Amino acid sequence: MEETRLTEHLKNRPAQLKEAKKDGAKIIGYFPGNYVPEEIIYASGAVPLCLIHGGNPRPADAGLSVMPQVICPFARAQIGERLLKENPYYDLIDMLVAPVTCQHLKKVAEIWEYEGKLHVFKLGVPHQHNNDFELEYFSDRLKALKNRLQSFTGNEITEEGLRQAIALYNRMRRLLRKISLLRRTASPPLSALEFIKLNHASFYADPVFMVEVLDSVYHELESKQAYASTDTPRLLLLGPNIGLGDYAILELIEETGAEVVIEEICEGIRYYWHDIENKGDIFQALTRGYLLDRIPCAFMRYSTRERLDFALKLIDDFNVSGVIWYELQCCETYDSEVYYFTEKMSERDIPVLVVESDYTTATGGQLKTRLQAFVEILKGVV
Amino acid sequence: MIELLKLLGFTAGDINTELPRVEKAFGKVGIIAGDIEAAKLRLKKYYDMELEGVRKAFRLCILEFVNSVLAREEGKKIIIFGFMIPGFETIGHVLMSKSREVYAAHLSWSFLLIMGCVFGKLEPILEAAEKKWLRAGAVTHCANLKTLLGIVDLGIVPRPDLMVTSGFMCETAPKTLDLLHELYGMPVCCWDTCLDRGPEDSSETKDRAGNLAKKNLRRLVEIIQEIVGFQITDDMLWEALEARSRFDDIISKLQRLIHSSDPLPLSPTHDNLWMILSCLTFSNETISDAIDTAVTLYRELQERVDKGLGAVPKGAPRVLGEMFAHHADPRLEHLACEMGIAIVVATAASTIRLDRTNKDPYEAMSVAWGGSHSTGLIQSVPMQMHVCKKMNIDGVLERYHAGCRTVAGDALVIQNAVKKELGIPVLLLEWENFDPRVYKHEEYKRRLEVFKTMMTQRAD
Amino acid sequence: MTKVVIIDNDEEIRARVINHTGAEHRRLANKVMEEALEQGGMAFEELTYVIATGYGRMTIPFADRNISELTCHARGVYHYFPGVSLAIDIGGQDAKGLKIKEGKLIDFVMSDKCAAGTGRFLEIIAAALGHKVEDLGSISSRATGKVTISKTCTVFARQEVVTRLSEGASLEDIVVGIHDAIAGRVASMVARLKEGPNVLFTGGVAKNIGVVRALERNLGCEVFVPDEPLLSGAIGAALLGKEITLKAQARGEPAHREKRHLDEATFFT
Repeated sequence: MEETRLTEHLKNRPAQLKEAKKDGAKIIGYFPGNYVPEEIIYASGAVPLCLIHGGNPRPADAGLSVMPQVICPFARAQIGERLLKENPYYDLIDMLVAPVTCQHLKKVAEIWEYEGKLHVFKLGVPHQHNNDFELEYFSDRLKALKNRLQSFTGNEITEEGLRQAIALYNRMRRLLRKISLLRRTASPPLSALEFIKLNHASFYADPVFMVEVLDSVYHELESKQAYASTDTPRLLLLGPNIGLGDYAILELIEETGAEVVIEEICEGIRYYWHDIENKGDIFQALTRGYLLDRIPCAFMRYSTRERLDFALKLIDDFNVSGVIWYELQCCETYDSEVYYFTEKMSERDIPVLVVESDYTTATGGQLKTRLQAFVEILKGVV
Repeated sequence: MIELLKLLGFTAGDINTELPRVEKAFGKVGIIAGDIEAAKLRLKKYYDMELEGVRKAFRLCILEFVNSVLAREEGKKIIIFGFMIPGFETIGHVLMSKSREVYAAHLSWSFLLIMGCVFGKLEPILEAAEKKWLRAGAVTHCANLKTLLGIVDLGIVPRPDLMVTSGFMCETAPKTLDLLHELYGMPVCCWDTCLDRGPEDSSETKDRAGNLAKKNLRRLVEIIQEIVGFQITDDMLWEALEARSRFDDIISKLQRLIHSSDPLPLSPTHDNLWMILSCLTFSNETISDAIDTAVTLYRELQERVDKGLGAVPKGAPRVLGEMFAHHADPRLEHLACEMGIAIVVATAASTIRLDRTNKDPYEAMSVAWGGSHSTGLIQSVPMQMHVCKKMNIDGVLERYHAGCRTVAGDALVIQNAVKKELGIPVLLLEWENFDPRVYKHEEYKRRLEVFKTMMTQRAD
Repeated sequence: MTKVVIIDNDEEIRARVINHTGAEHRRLANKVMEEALEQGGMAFEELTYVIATGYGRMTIPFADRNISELTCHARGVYHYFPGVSLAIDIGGQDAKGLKIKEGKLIDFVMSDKCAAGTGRFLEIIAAALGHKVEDLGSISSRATGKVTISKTCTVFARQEVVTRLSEGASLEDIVVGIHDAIAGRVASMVARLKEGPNVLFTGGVAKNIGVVRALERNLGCEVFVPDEPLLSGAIGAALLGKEITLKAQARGEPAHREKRHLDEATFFT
């Protein structure tokens, strides 16, 4: 029944936000990747809204009038959503906070900035952070974000307000973490699709309400009986991005008789493995949390090894027997890693299936065949 | 072979010392007798080999190529390669001026020119890379990266003691270097800034991101110091910048001369030559050689301009070509030239002059080359318009390099802006600036013909 | 094409049918099965286990199970050649590379959506040259040299071939170039499987000796072609069916579900 409450809430959310705007609230959109601290946005009284819709080829194709095919379908879909004007969220935003991350999303922000119909704030993310001056840079930029939001909303962002916001989002992260860890059991009480949908919801729902829902969901799942183990192959899903709506691959995996028990996706789910330390200098704490205490995205310098190690840890902790590498077409930084990852995985006898998506590939029969063959490898046929 | 070397600007004295080295280097990259003959034909077809300056320019490039291939064999104790990092030619200059035991050079520019443009044998290098992590396919990895990976993987260049890159244009170059580190054990380092400048930022922001680049560059040089075992002082850097300045200034003057002359005095196939020349690494000893080449080239071009000689007819439609001329295949530029289209300027990239009054060379270099001043389209589009007007451009050849997401993402925006604000024709061409395999003669000929007609019709 | 193979307990082939069913392959699968049963002299009910594989496997109502063609091919080539480590299958529509260890599929690659690197590529080029695709192999064996075809895309390769021919290049040398192009493409595709030395080549294109030689050149090792290069998938499926049956019998369970009829496939729209 939590699911129904959440669905209702999300159905009404655009209308709710429109009302809030009439009362003077600002809606601040931001791109995924877990580099934008929602806490700062929340503490300004504005509504943070992650632009993370994907999976539908229509907006991605609409984006082709602005950016060519070599730009990934997710980035093109963001452009397309604003062009098509069918998605209420994309119209509601008053400002975009664009983290300086991969070349594709950087370009979307640049184009919107150039078009001039939307306020754009580029949040500088240093692409290497071995040195103190780089961490200081990010800390400074977070302060600049705070100042910008203060002047944009007309509200002061107090330390108290920030601490409360951090506490709230920490709760959200903690609950998502706990729910995710339930999937370590032999019979996970929720599917990857359900978990990802919850995660996606957290980017759009009112955060206080979302935390309530997650708390309820956690207790409900925790009490669910863990069944005996099955021979369903347990998979790790790795990739750059699962957009809200980009679910065909997950559905196909389920149909083929395997289950994804854990994911590591840069721009698809909220990073929930660590909390932000809510004491001491706030901006240093946010810098540590959003830049250091997390798995880097593939575009980060010197990130490849760290990312592999984390994936191997997940494979161990979640008792995974196979990996699905789900990549958006033309994502050159992630694609570069395929060779390395598959080599290291094969050294450990872990089969990897590489799937490339332009948001239309899941409908073809070939992907089904490949998934079936993959499951047959993992499970055996006889 | 001797004929080829003569063609490439080697003098009689040169040839004695260099011939065995060139032969050895060619042997390592698989160049055979048949290739030499083919190369002579290609050079004569695509380049203006009558100009002594052009021959000498090729000579400088092939010398760097040979030096890089044979560096370890010839006893260099420390080898540092740079890839896609502006300013590395200055750092290399410092290193090689200080010590004979150090070799520093850019990759892959001279390789693209020699293996690609001159010999037409780049494909095996690209294929080697495609067998590793830069696979062929819809993902469209940049062929410049493939060239780097290919020459490393095939052992064409020795394993360096350090490879450095930058993150100003590209996330993929640092990524590939990270993988070279993981899979080949190669020490790597990256010079970064942060490309977050917005239009509302004042010059204070230039300091902010420039500051980051400056600190980052100091850190990079510290690492290099550890590897080479001697200190790199600010004075040494200024000395190198000074030594190069004469060379760089003549190359810039030369480009300006070409851009502003009608008829276009030299085929646009030579366009990438200037860029490659600027990236060659010299030392205090060898820089005079480079300056001599540049001076010769400039003198000869000036003579041409004075005589009104050109590679295309006077009054030919003037075209702005996005991206430099193809780095490994001169055919498109050659075709355009043959058809009487004057590609007068390649890429309207913004340049900032190095501030020689700045006491801090790191700051000067960061501000000039560190990419932090760019805000993206909101700045670059008006600049393109400005360049088009200033240079009386009749049409834009928007040949966007598909391998580069930064450049490709701009293509349609620029096309629309040019059409809307200038009303001149735009030829949109999905291109691969480093891969010779994409060339489609019939299609390009047809489209260039239409493009030219549209431009000449407007003039009438 | 629809293929049916029936084997007996001793793994001897009792029937083999290769039928061009065209677009109606799903609907007509039962007809091909009937033909096989007639050839083998047996009734449908005598079949212990039926496995469907390949395109359309999901819609065969009389199959006990469907298994991917990748797994079936791996089992089939292992039957011919127990030492096999890499199997390459080039059919009309697609190309596959299978990494095999002790008869089990452990990794694979499949070609992209485009025609290059598949039998279709050869069909199109053969037509452009005015020859039958079956003759390409013998044509190439008469060549004295090779005309390198640089274009990877089928459409452009076709143009290039026609141009070369009009420029006076020899037909035989061009065909060698075409074989090299397809072999090179497939060799690149399987490169990441890091194949061992024992390579088996199946599928319709394996009947073309010119492509076999080209593949050997591009892979740098010997390539073996079984006597019946079109049947490895069906044979593999049958052998897996036997294994499944034996395992079920060992557990004391029936191998296949009770009501199984040789019906035409029906479609629900």
